[in-house]
Amino acid sequence: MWAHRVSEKRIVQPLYEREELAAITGGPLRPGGLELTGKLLHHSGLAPGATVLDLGCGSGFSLELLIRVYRLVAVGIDPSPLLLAQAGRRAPQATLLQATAQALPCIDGSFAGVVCECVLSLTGDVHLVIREMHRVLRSGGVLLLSDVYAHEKGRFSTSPRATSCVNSTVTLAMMTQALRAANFELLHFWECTDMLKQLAGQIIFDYGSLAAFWNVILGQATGQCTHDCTRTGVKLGYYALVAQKR
Amino acid sequence: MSTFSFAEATEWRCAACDQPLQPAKVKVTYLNAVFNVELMVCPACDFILVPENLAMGKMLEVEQLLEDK
Amino acid sequence: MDQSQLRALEARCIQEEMPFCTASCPIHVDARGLMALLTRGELREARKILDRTMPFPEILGRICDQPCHPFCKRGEIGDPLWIGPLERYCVSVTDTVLKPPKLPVKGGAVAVLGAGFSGMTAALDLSRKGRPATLITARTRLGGSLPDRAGSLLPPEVFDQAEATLKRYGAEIVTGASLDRQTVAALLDKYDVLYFDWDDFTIDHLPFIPGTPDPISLALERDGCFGGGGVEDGKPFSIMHQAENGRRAALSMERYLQGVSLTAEREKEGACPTRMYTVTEGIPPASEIVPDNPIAGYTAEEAQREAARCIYCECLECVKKCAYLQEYKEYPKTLVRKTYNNLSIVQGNRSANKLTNSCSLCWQCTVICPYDFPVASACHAARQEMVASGHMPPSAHSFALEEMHYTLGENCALIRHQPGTTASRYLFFPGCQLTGTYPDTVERTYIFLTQHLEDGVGLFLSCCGAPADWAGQSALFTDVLADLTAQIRQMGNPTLIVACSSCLAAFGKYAPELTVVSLWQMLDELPLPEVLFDLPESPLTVHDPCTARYQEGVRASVRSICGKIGLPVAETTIGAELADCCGYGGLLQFANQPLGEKVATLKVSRSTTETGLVYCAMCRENLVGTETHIAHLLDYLFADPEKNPLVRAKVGLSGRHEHRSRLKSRLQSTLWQDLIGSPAPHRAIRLEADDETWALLNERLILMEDIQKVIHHAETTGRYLHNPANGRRLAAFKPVVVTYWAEYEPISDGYFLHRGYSHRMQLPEDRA
Repeated sequence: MWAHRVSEKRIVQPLYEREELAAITGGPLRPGGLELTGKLLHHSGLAPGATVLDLGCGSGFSLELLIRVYRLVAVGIDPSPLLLAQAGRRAPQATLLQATAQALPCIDGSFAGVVCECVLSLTGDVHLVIREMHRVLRSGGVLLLSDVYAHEKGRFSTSPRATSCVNSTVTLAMMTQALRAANFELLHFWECTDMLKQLAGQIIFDYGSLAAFWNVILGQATGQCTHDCTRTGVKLGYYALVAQKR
Repeated sequence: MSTFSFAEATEWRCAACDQPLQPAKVKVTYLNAVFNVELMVCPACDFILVPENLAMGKMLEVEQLLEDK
Repeated sequence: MDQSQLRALEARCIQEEMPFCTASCPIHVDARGLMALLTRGELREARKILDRTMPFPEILGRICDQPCHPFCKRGEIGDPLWIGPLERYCVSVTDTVLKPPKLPVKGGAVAVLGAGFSGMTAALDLSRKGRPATLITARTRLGGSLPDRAGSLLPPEVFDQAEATLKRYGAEIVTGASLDRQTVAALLDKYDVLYFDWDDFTIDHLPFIPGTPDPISLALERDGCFGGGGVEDGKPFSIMHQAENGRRAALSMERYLQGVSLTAEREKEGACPTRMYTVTEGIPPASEIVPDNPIAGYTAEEAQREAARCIYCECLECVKKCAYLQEYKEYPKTLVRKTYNNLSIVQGNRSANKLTNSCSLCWQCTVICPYDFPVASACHAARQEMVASGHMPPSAHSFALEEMHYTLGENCALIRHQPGTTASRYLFFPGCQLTGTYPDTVERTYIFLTQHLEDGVGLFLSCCGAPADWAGQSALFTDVLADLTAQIRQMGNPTLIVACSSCLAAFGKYAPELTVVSLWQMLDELPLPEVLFDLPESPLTVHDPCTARYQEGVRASVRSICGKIGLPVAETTIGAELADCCGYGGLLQFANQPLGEKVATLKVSRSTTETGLVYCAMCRENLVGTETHIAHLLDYLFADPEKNPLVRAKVGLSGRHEHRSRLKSRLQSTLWQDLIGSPAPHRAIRLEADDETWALLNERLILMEDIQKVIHHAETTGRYLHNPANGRRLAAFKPVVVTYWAEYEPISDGYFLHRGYSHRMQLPEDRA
């Protein structure tokens, strides 16, 4: 009994799993919101009826957009059962799978498009996930990607936690290299750091601090050390891009 | 954790309308960004209260974030 | 600034130049680093330094002839360091720590004839680069003449170690070879490239005429052949010379095999000059530590004491003086790099904006730098670019720029001929800050000038535009100057008498067509007024403003005037052309308030007496504090005798703002008998507040006039909040960009102000 209560205390619900958050910001909790998703889709060349994977679909805001507005056949993958339950309510027509990005339960070449928004840096292994996304795309399929990036490689990883967040947030140069190495061709690229600042400002107003902001974007554990890192000089930005599988 | 609202109970009343202030959603802007903040507002004439701790606190923080200082 | 201009600018900073020991070492051993580690007893790390650079440290380290020794800067204040014996100590108590990697084998057949130290070095370097060398000697062992020369200094195992090292990198060693003209001719055919070590190879065995080896590449007359080592004419045998030649030849041979130039860009090989600059003043002298047993060499304790005498030559001269460089922990090369990297961020976070805006643009570092590094140029140009591309953070300079606009506007600006005249030979230009700080003194100074100068002294109350220049607002600055010069031309091009060194510098640099003279130089040539004060008996330290850096004439006139009136003065520890900025320069104190305060504290600390004297109004405003009594020289000459110049209160932002407009209206009515229109109604509002409240407003860059505007707006429109519990009112007003708030209550003849604050975020005009 005592052991059970100890483990109960350890379960800290990530900020991004709370519905109130979505309510305050009026949509998904990421820079650019659904507007940015729409911009990516606009430049994707995806036709109605195409099958698309939303990797890290969360509570289903983008799924809803993909299905209702863009008339795509959508599959959502997320590791969080709580968020998948919300996604199920928000986008009942989507197929939902609980899995991690490092090992997608999908056969090769099964998608015309993969959407991955503000999630890649959370996975901890950018190169592996890019290869997975490449694998599940059919030839000529498109990757719609948005995420944080670091201005320069962090140099403060003294604690093990610090290693995971600073190392998994890559520089733009590393990101474009990783995509090229995995046989993606870059079609469009947008610098979106203004959207990051907009969201940061809104969260400062709503949650009282920037530390809370990083918790939301990068998850609780990495959030605190990112906050510490950014205070000591590793600056973050935000980007969006469309790439095509060669 | 509940929403950090700036619409806290206040003794200030709108003098022109002789009304107590009510919480309301307000859009504030700076440079290219727009934010939704909840503030105390006169329901009759829309006079918005920006308290000192907000102006010199969170607002200043966000202004500097946007300016990239 | 493009990349190549940026590199050229960065290169002027010599902080990263080689120290004297490394530069004079033919193979550039990091002796400075070695000394640090030996001092701390970190022997493994010390050995790594030698492993990194030296071929066969177990040999070279033991008998190094230290060509660096005479260049050691410690020699200026004591004896130079015995770097050679310290190396000997290090290699005798450590084994190899670092083994440089071997590159993959590439093509090319390499032979080294003669296994003296230079041959060994050439063979090692080439083998490491993936060109395994065949090292051939007629002797039965490696080393050439070394074992005979060095005797017991080189225990036999060091040659075994050297042989093992060479083999590890793939070199082949052939001893007891029969070398004569025929056998060598055969080798010439067999190998692509050959090196001849004169210490271990007889020149007579060459089947060709070598000629004089090329000094840069060591190439001989025959293609693919190189020669070096041995003893240089008239000089003793030097093992360092062997190592240098071997290394130089190896590089030539590598280039030869690659088919590229043998001589291009080889200036830094071998001993070379360095631009390093180190000041030894203030370092206590220290004599050499001589080993008790010179044959055995240093003991651990002796070595540690000798190494500890190193003075770690570096420059950082400007950083030692400048609070801004110290704050950001940068030296000019890295600072300029950061500033320009920041500019090239097209979109995204520009984290170095504050860095760029925190330089005083005072040129102190440039005067200190032996190569005149212009940090101010770099930061100023960067600010101009930030403004041009729309990336200058508004709040850095907006307050100062708004004040400048106000000063140039109709409330404050005035340009008139001397009352009762229609022409001016001179035009007194007191500047915006002096007018704001001491309007009464400005008035008396002007009247004095009119009484002592012929042909008319006009008055021009304005601003020279320096704030716009400092803020990087080049277009605005150009407009301001154009307007000023047009007005001066309309007055008949009189000679400007400027009180402020910043104005003098600005006009001198950007409006050279104007005839400008300093008020101080003018006063020094006039009969000075009688001083109505009891002059202090103890000397006042003169604090020159940073803008008088290149104005020796002004500085001299100031001292001369002090002498004439009997005011005793002393000099600062660092002043004149090295004077610090007080914080106003470059608008530093607006862009970075905390650093501005540190800078002011530093300037005051240069004082050598209890009290101080300045002749710049902003210096006084920034340097004066509760403990620091500083007078402005004009106060001794022209001020109200009731007010002791040493204890006049600081005026502050609001005060300066008010004084400028009041001086104009006062002089207009008293000197020129103009009819003044009624001032804007809000200015009639009478405000009272506690000292803490005024100080808070000052800190927040909120003027009293801003508060007056708020209250005026609130009371005339009736739009304010009201607290029935205490009768206070709270209202807001946005004159231009910033919204000001005031919490106040009506009192009998005006208003009492409780709080004032502001924000830049804009509220909706209409309902959201």
